[in-house]
Amino acid sequence: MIPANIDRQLLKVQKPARYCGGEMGSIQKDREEVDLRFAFCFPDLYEVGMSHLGMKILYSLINAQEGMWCERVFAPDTDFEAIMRQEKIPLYGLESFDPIREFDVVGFTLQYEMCYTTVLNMLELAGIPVRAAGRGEDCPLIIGGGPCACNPEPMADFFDLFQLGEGEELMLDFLELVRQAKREGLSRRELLRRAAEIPGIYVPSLYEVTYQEDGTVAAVTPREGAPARVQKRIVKDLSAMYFPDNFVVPFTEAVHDRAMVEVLRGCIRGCRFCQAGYIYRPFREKDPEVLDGQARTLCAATGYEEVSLTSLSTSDHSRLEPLMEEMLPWTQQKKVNIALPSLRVDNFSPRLLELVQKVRRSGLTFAPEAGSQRLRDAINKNVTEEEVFATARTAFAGGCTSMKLYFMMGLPTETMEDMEAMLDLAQKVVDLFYHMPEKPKGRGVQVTISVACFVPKPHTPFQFEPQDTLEQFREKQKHLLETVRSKKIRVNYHDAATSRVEAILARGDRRLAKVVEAVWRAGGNLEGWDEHFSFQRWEDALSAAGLSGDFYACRRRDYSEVLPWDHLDYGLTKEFLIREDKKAWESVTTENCREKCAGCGANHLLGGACFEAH
Amino acid sequence: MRLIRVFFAKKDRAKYISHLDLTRCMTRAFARTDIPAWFTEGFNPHVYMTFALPIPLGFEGLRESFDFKLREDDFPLDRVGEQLNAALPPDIRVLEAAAAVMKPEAIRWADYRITLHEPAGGETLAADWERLLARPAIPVEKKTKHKTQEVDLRPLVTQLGCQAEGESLTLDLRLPGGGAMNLNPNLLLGALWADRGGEAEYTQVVRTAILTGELAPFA
Repeated sequence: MIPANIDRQLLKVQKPARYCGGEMGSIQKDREEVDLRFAFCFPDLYEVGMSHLGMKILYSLINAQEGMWCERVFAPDTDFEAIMRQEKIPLYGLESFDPIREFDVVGFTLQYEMCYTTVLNMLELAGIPVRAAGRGEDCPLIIGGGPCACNPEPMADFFDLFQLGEGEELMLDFLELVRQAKREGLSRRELLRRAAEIPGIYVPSLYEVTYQEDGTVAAVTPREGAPARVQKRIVKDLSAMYFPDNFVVPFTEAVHDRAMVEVLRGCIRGCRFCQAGYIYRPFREKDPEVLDGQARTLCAATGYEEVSLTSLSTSDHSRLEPLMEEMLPWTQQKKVNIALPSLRVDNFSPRLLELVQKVRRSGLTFAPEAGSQRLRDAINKNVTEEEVFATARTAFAGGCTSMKLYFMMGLPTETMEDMEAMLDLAQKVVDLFYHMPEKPKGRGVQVTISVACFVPKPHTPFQFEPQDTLEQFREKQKHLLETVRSKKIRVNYHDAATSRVEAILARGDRRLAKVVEAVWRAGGNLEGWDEHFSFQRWEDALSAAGLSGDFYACRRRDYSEVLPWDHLDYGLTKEFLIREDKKAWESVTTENCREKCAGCGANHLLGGACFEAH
Repeated sequence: MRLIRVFFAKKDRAKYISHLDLTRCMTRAFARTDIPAWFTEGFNPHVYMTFALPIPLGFEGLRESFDFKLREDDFPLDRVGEQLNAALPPDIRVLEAAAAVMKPEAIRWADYRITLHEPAGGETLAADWERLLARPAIPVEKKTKHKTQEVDLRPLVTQLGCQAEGESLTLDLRLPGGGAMNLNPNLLLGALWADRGGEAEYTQVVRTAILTGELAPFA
């Protein structure tokens, strides 16, 4: 039952189903029979968080443990937040409605930099001091994970610890320690010291950061026996790894509201701008038989009408064809749609193409990322113009009359000619349409080019590279718009200011904590949503802190510089990243991992080669 | 093929589900059972389901209904309820599944229990309500998809009960329901708020029954 004080408020807000729980698949436990309570916080709205596979995995994993109860917590939208503050309703778990400040552990997944201020807002709504140093013995442990944990330094002052890498094993090791600490009555400090002994756990308060006069990091020094470098955790065998047999099925529609199975982890491609392509290495596949079984179980338990085969690049699974052969009969019988979100069509056998076409009918998108072949070589995006055309031809022949091409601007080595090449490519797709005898009759074609601003990220070869300035971005956007001649080509782009803030935070250091806090105190919250983002707030906070945005976003890092995240080991050697960055400037590509090992270092996490020798 | 009418209650947290969310929830519940429900044909096949009188977000319903088609004539109806209940969240409960007796057009009335809460007290609310009801006409703007028209609510309201107790006022009302003429109680509550100059602190609405022209329960 929903407590009366919350029940009386919910009809005053938009989408009250976000705040009331009770969905199919949500887990109820008896408070008296659990000794460890975990609040899994997603610092964004319900419909965003409920789409996230990582949260589903850890939710089920923790709840599968006897005596542990994991609940879901999302950021309230502004209407409900105002009511919570006015009515003094503290942030609660959706399963029990209990205030999360009474829990043992409060965990945040950090999926993107623009959620940082939301984290602070949620802590305050929970009644928990935002700074780790201000928390007493009775406060829950505030932990973080997810991709942004690969450089959590701007958030280091707010978290007690971070989990680096994959959580399936690490989370349980950690929760066992928490349980033991409760039993033994360990102090918070002692618990953190012991947590730092668990591989994959980074306790920022056990590291002292000193700076040079020019603002770069001088040294990161471990204290109290903490390891000099913290290595991220991985799960070696995906097929044997824990996977949920049920999901919480939301009432109100989530962004991705479907069953999901993760077909592989890591990526063999090595696109030099792509953080996910590096930090999730090494490449590992899940067996088709296991995937088929997990998909069947999930669909039966949830009743979902769609199952997605997710990964960074699903077509890179070496046995996608047998998997599809296995899944097609039962999904067709049960009228379940198979979604294949990340496909590259270049390596398809005719049979696989046939299988994929049976299930695929979504809109046509393609991500060449750069307009010219030279720049695509520089960023190691191994897509050729011919591949774009082949995809377009197939789609147009099938009756499709629009195509979306994704690009980035501000990539290292980019020139205005590369920008214009985006339009040339789009124009060629338009021309191709009109030259096809079998084109859909009586209809025009629409090619949309969507251009994002490049954000250099830690643990990628471009971690050393400057981001374009706002002026450069805006000039390029203007140039692009002025150069479009055809009504058949539409250009979409975003304001560059968000990308600049992302760049500042992505490669930031601990001095940014006061900036993040100041932005939040000035009203920053849910900043991933355009209507809640204010660039001025960030500029004001940076100047008040005496820090320069250009220092973080637009500065080239020397290869010898100590980077704020150098003590966090994601399996990649710095030598490899430097090698790849140099190759970018020579427009030299690197083979994908399956063709030839590039020596990134991540195979050490496996304790052997990523691929068996042919 | 048999047309089956499923009667269900939608209470507590389930009142926060919109009609669209409820249909999706039911569709997925069917997929978690082995009830041989008939699917629509075409590009996007799904369980065929129709709701005679959709219930708005925010309302509880004691005996709501929807229809679906059973492909197997001998599939026992008690198993429909059992299996759906196992596949539905706790706040949505199937009460009965039976062959549809009436056509949806038979619906003429719906009964509501409306509880208003106000620290000033139920008696104050009762006085406000009675003052509204005593007016010769209660004109409101009723918006439909195509137009806005003025409707007088007064002749549409039948009061079955009115009970003030402590901080609350409980009204039992019979309002027109169904395809021909339907009055959403929120429209009436809106008129009350306008008349007394403010909303009650909070309000609960429960649809207690759906009735035919002869005041028989819809079956």
